[in-house]
Amino acid sequence: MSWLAPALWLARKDLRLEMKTRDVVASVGLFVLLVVVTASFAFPTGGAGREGVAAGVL
Amino acid sequence: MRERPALGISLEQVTKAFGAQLALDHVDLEIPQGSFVAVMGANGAGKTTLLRTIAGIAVPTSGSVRIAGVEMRRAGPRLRALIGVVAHETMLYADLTVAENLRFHAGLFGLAHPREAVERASERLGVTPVLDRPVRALSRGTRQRVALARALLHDPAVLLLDEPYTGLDEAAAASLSELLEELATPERIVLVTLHDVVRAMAGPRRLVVLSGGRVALDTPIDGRSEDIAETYLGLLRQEVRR
Repeated sequence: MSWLAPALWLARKDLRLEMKTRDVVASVGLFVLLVVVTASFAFPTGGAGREGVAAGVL
Repeated sequence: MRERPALGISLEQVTKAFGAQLALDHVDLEIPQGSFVAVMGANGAGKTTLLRTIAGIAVPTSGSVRIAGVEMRRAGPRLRALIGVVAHETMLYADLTVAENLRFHAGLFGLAHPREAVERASERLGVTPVLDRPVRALSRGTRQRVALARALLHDPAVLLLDEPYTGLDEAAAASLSELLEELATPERIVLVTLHDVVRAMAGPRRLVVLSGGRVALDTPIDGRSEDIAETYLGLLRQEVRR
Protein backbone atom coordinates (compact mmCIF):
# COMPACT_ATOMS: atom_id res chain seq x y z
CA MET A 1 0.00 0.00 0.00
CA SER A 2 2.57 2.54 -1.17
CA TRP A 3 -0.20 5.09 -1.76
CA LEU A 4 -1.38 5.13 1.84
CA ALA A 5 1.46 7.12 3.41
CA PRO A 6 1.37 9.92 0.76
CA ALA A 7 -2.45 9.98 1.03
CA LEU A 8 -2.20 10.45 4.80
CA TRP A 9 0.39 13.22 4.38
CA LEU A 10 -1.91 14.95 1.88
CA ALA A 11 -4.92 14.62 4.17
CA ARG A 12 -2.89 15.98 7.09
CA LYS A 13 -1.74 18.94 5.00
CA ASP A 14 -5.28 19.68 3.76
CA LEU A 15 -6.69 19.52 7.29
CA ARG A 16 -3.98 21.83 8.57
CA LEU A 17 -4.67 24.30 5.76
CA GLU A 18 -8.39 24.13 6.48
CA MET A 19 -7.86 24.74 10.20
CA LYS A 20 -6.01 27.92 9.28
CA THR A 21 -8.10 29.31 6.45
CA ARG A 22 -11.61 27.81 7.02
CA ASP A 23 -12.15 28.22 3.28
CA VAL A 24 -13.99 24.96 2.69
CA VAL A 25 -15.97 25.04 5.96
CA ALA A 26 -17.28 28.51 5.12
CA SER A 27 -18.26 27.73 1.53
CA VAL A 28 -19.71 24.28 2.28
CA GLY A 29 -21.54 25.66 5.32
CA LEU A 30 -23.17 28.34 3.20
CA PHE A 31 -24.10 25.75 0.57
CA VAL A 32 -25.69 23.48 3.19
CA LEU A 33 -27.70 26.37 4.60
CA LEU A 34 -28.86 27.27 1.09
CA VAL A 35 -29.98 23.70 0.37
CA VAL A 36 -31.86 23.44 3.66
CA VAL A 37 -33.68 26.74 3.13
CA THR A 38 -34.53 25.92 -0.51
CA ALA A 39 -35.71 22.44 0.42
CA SER A 40 -37.85 23.70 3.29
CA PHE A 41 -39.73 25.99 0.91
CA ALA A 42 -39.83 23.57 -2.04
CA PHE A 43 -41.10 20.41 -0.35
CA PRO A 44 -44.49 19.92 1.26
CA THR A 45 -44.29 19.52 5.02
CA GLY A 46 -47.54 17.63 5.40
CA GLY A 47 -50.32 15.88 3.54
CA ALA A 48 -50.25 13.14 0.92
CA GLY A 49 -47.25 14.45 -1.08
CA ARG A 50 -44.82 14.10 1.82
CA GLU A 51 -44.09 10.37 1.39
CA GLY A 52 -43.75 10.72 -2.36
CA VAL A 53 -41.20 13.48 -2.07
CA ALA A 54 -39.20 11.64 0.65
CA ALA A 55 -38.18 8.87 -1.73
CA GLY A 56 -36.97 11.37 -4.30
CA VAL A 57 -34.97 13.32 -1.74
CA LEU A 58 -33.24 10.18 -0.50
CA MET B 1 25.50 9.08 3.08
CA ARG B 2 23.97 6.36 0.88
CA GLU B 3 25.95 5.00 -2.07
CA ARG B 4 24.78 5.79 -5.56
CA PRO B 5 25.64 4.42 -8.98
CA ALA B 6 27.56 6.71 -11.37
CA LEU B 7 24.96 9.05 -12.67
CA GLY B 8 24.44 10.80 -15.95
CA ILE B 9 21.59 12.24 -17.99
CA SER B 10 21.27 11.21 -21.59
CA LEU B 11 18.79 12.66 -24.05
CA GLU B 12 18.53 10.97 -27.39
CA GLN B 13 16.55 12.57 -30.23
CA VAL B 14 14.04 13.97 -27.75
CA THR B 15 11.06 15.67 -29.33
CA LYS B 16 8.16 17.18 -27.44
CA ALA B 17 5.19 18.51 -29.37
CA PHE B 18 2.21 20.47 -28.13
CA GLY B 19 -0.19 20.01 -31.02
CA ALA B 20 1.62 21.31 -34.11
CA GLN B 21 4.09 23.28 -31.99
CA LEU B 22 7.47 21.62 -31.36
CA ALA B 23 8.82 22.64 -27.94
CA LEU B 24 11.80 20.30 -28.29
CA ASP B 25 13.01 19.19 -31.68
CA HIS B 26 15.31 16.13 -31.80
CA VAL B 27 17.45 17.17 -28.84
CA ASP B 28 20.61 15.14 -28.13
CA LEU B 29 22.44 15.88 -24.87
CA GLU B 30 24.87 14.01 -22.66
CA ILE B 31 25.22 15.41 -19.15
CA PRO B 32 27.72 13.52 -17.03
CA GLN B 33 27.82 13.41 -13.24
CA GLY B 34 29.37 16.53 -11.72
CA SER B 35 28.08 18.84 -14.45
CA PHE B 36 26.92 22.37 -13.71
CA VAL B 37 25.00 23.39 -16.81
CA ALA B 38 23.29 26.65 -17.73
CA VAL B 39 20.46 26.30 -20.24
CA MET B 40 19.67 29.52 -22.05
CA GLY B 41 17.53 30.69 -24.92
CA ALA B 42 14.81 33.17 -25.81
CA ASN B 43 11.31 32.86 -24.37
CA GLY B 44 9.65 29.78 -25.85
CA ALA B 45 12.97 28.21 -26.86
CA GLY B 46 12.14 25.04 -24.91
CA LYS B 47 14.13 25.51 -21.68
CA THR B 48 11.32 24.74 -19.28
CA THR B 49 10.10 21.83 -21.40
CA LEU B 50 13.64 20.43 -21.39
CA LEU B 51 13.76 20.57 -17.60
CA ARG B 52 10.27 19.11 -17.25
CA THR B 53 11.18 16.29 -19.62
CA ILE B 54 14.35 15.45 -17.68
CA ALA B 55 12.39 15.57 -14.42
CA GLY B 56 9.86 13.11 -15.85
CA ILE B 57 7.03 15.64 -15.45
CA ALA B 58 6.59 15.86 -19.25
CA VAL B 59 6.74 12.73 -21.39
CA PRO B 60 8.61 13.19 -24.69
CA THR B 61 6.58 12.70 -27.86
CA SER B 62 9.51 10.68 -29.23
CA GLY B 63 13.08 9.91 -28.25
CA SER B 64 14.39 8.85 -24.89
CA VAL B 65 15.55 10.44 -21.65
CA ARG B 66 17.77 8.26 -19.48
CA ILE B 67 19.03 8.90 -16.00
CA ALA B 68 21.74 6.55 -14.70
CA GLY B 69 21.03 4.47 -17.81
CA VAL B 70 17.35 3.98 -16.95
CA GLU B 71 14.64 5.22 -19.31
CA MET B 72 12.57 7.89 -17.51
CA ARG B 73 9.32 6.43 -18.86
CA ARG B 74 10.05 3.29 -16.85
CA ALA B 75 11.51 5.10 -13.87
CA GLY B 76 10.20 3.98 -10.50
CA PRO B 77 10.05 6.06 -7.33
CA ARG B 78 13.68 5.25 -6.46
CA LEU B 79 15.01 6.81 -9.65
CA ARG B 80 12.66 9.78 -9.41
CA ALA B 81 13.89 10.31 -5.86
CA LEU B 82 17.29 11.17 -7.32
CA ILE B 83 15.81 14.35 -8.78
CA GLY B 84 15.08 17.65 -7.07
CA VAL B 85 13.17 20.35 -8.94
CA VAL B 86 12.77 24.05 -8.27
CA ALA B 87 10.13 25.28 -10.69
CA HIS B 88 9.67 28.84 -11.88
CA GLU B 89 6.87 29.27 -9.34
CA THR B 90 7.86 28.19 -5.85
CA MET B 91 4.71 26.03 -5.42
CA LEU B 92 4.71 26.47 -1.66
CA TYR B 93 1.53 26.55 0.41
CA ALA B 94 1.25 30.21 1.34
CA ASP B 95 -0.94 29.62 4.40
CA LEU B 96 1.35 26.99 5.92
CA THR B 97 4.52 27.86 7.77
CA VAL B 98 7.93 27.10 6.27
CA ALA B 99 8.36 24.17 8.68
CA GLU B 100 4.92 22.76 7.79
CA ASN B 101 5.70 23.04 4.07
CA LEU B 102 9.06 21.31 4.47
CA ARG B 103 7.71 18.60 6.79
CA PHE B 104 4.89 17.87 4.35
CA HIS B 105 7.32 17.34 1.47
CA ALA B 106 9.71 15.33 3.64
CA GLY B 107 6.75 13.08 4.37
CA LEU B 108 5.87 12.78 0.68
CA PHE B 109 9.50 11.89 -0.09
CA GLY B 110 9.11 9.05 2.42
CA LEU B 111 12.18 10.12 4.40
CA ALA B 112 12.97 8.00 7.43
CA HIS B 113 13.70 11.02 9.62
CA PRO B 114 11.70 13.96 8.21
CA ARG B 115 12.29 16.25 11.19
CA GLU B 116 16.08 15.93 10.94
CA ALA B 117 15.96 16.37 7.16
CA VAL B 118 13.98 19.59 7.58
CA GLU B 119 16.45 20.89 10.15
CA ARG B 120 19.42 20.03 7.94
CA ALA B 121 17.97 21.59 4.78
CA SER B 122 16.76 24.73 6.53
CA GLU B 123 20.12 25.27 8.20
CA ARG B 124 21.90 24.81 4.89
CA LEU B 125 19.68 27.36 3.17
CA GLY B 126 19.61 29.76 6.12
CA VAL B 127 15.84 29.60 6.57
CA THR B 128 15.88 28.31 10.18
CA PRO B 129 14.91 31.76 11.59
CA VAL B 130 11.73 31.80 9.47
CA LEU B 131 10.64 28.20 10.05
CA ASP B 132 7.56 29.28 12.03
CA ARG B 133 6.50 32.04 9.70
CA PRO B 134 3.78 31.54 7.09
CA VAL B 135 5.16 31.47 3.55
CA ARG B 136 2.82 34.32 2.58
CA ALA B 137 4.80 36.64 4.88
CA LEU B 138 8.15 35.94 3.20
CA SER B 139 9.98 37.89 0.51
CA ARG B 140 10.47 36.39 -2.95
CA GLY B 141 14.15 35.67 -2.18
CA THR B 142 13.35 33.83 1.04
CA ARG B 143 10.60 31.86 -0.67
CA GLN B 144 13.12 30.85 -3.30
CA ARG B 145 15.44 29.64 -0.54
CA VAL B 146 12.60 27.65 1.00
CA ALA B 147 11.84 26.10 -2.40
CA LEU B 148 15.51 25.14 -2.69
CA ALA B 149 15.48 23.71 0.83
CA ARG B 150 12.47 21.62 -0.17
CA ALA B 151 14.28 20.36 -3.29
CA LEU B 152 17.30 19.41 -1.17
CA LEU B 153 15.38 17.59 1.57
CA HIS B 154 16.13 14.19 0.04
CA ASP B 155 19.68 15.13 -1.02
CA PRO B 156 19.01 14.71 -4.76
CA ALA B 157 21.78 13.76 -7.17
CA VAL B 158 20.16 15.80 -9.95
CA LEU B 159 19.05 19.35 -9.22
CA LEU B 160 16.94 21.13 -11.83
CA LEU B 161 16.20 24.83 -11.42
CA ASP B 162 13.92 26.78 -13.72
CA GLU B 163 14.83 30.48 -13.82
CA PRO B 164 15.60 30.65 -10.10
CA TYR B 165 16.81 34.27 -10.30
CA THR B 166 13.47 35.69 -11.38
CA GLY B 167 12.33 38.44 -9.01
CA LEU B 168 15.44 38.35 -6.83
CA ASP B 169 17.31 41.53 -5.92
CA GLU B 170 21.07 41.69 -6.46
CA ALA B 171 21.94 40.55 -2.93
CA ALA B 172 19.58 37.59 -3.03
CA ALA B 173 20.79 36.67 -6.54
CA ALA B 174 24.44 36.78 -5.46
CA SER B 175 23.63 34.62 -2.47
CA LEU B 176 21.80 32.14 -4.74
CA SER B 177 24.82 32.02 -7.09
CA GLU B 178 27.08 31.17 -4.13
CA LEU B 179 24.69 28.49 -3.05
CA LEU B 180 24.53 26.91 -6.52
CA GLU B 181 28.34 26.87 -6.66
CA GLU B 182 28.34 25.06 -3.34
CA LEU B 183 25.72 22.58 -4.52
CA ALA B 184 27.52 21.79 -7.78
CA THR B 185 29.65 19.01 -6.32
CA PRO B 186 31.32 16.25 -8.38
CA GLU B 187 28.55 13.87 -7.20
CA ARG B 188 25.68 16.04 -8.36
CA ILE B 189 24.29 17.36 -11.63
CA VAL B 190 22.98 20.92 -11.47
CA LEU B 191 20.98 22.18 -14.43
CA VAL B 192 19.73 25.74 -14.33
CA THR B 193 17.77 27.74 -16.90
CA LEU B 194 18.77 31.38 -17.12
CA HIS B 195 18.17 34.57 -19.06
CA ASP B 196 21.19 36.51 -17.85
CA VAL B 197 24.33 35.69 -19.83
CA VAL B 198 26.59 37.32 -17.21
CA ARG B 199 25.24 35.00 -14.54
CA ALA B 200 25.67 32.02 -16.87
CA MET B 201 29.34 32.89 -17.30
CA ALA B 202 29.89 33.33 -13.54
CA GLY B 203 29.12 29.88 -12.15
CA PRO B 204 28.11 27.12 -14.55
CA ARG B 205 30.82 25.18 -16.37
CA ARG B 206 28.81 24.43 -19.50
CA LEU B 207 26.34 26.39 -21.59
CA VAL B 208 23.56 24.88 -23.66
CA VAL B 209 21.59 27.30 -25.81
CA LEU B 210 18.22 26.28 -27.18
CA SER B 211 16.67 27.95 -30.18
CA GLY B 212 13.29 26.87 -31.51
CA GLY B 213 13.51 23.66 -29.51
CA ARG B 214 16.90 22.70 -30.95
CA VAL B 215 20.36 22.79 -29.39
CA ALA B 216 21.95 25.79 -31.11
CA LEU B 217 25.09 25.90 -28.96
CA ASP B 218 26.64 23.47 -26.50
CA THR B 219 29.99 24.61 -25.16
CA PRO B 220 32.10 24.42 -22.03
CA ILE B 221 32.45 27.75 -20.26
CA ASP B 222 36.16 28.35 -19.85
CA GLY B 223 38.43 31.34 -20.32
CA ARG B 224 36.56 32.34 -23.50
CA SER B 225 33.50 33.61 -21.68
CA GLU B 226 33.39 36.87 -23.68
CA ASP B 227 33.38 34.96 -27.00
CA ILE B 228 30.69 32.62 -25.72
CA ALA B 229 28.56 35.52 -24.49
CA GLU B 230 28.96 37.21 -27.89
CA THR B 231 27.96 34.00 -29.72
CA TYR B 232 24.93 33.66 -27.46
CA LEU B 233 23.83 37.23 -28.08
CA GLY B 234 24.30 36.68 -31.81
CA LEU B 235 22.00 33.65 -31.64
CA LEU B 236 19.42 35.69 -29.75
CA ARG B 237 19.54 38.45 -32.39
CA GLN B 238 18.96 35.85 -35.12
CA GLU B 239 15.99 34.53 -33.15
CA VAL B 240 14.49 38.02 -32.86
CA ARG B 241 14.88 38.61 -36.64
CA ARG B 242 13.11 35.31 -37.42
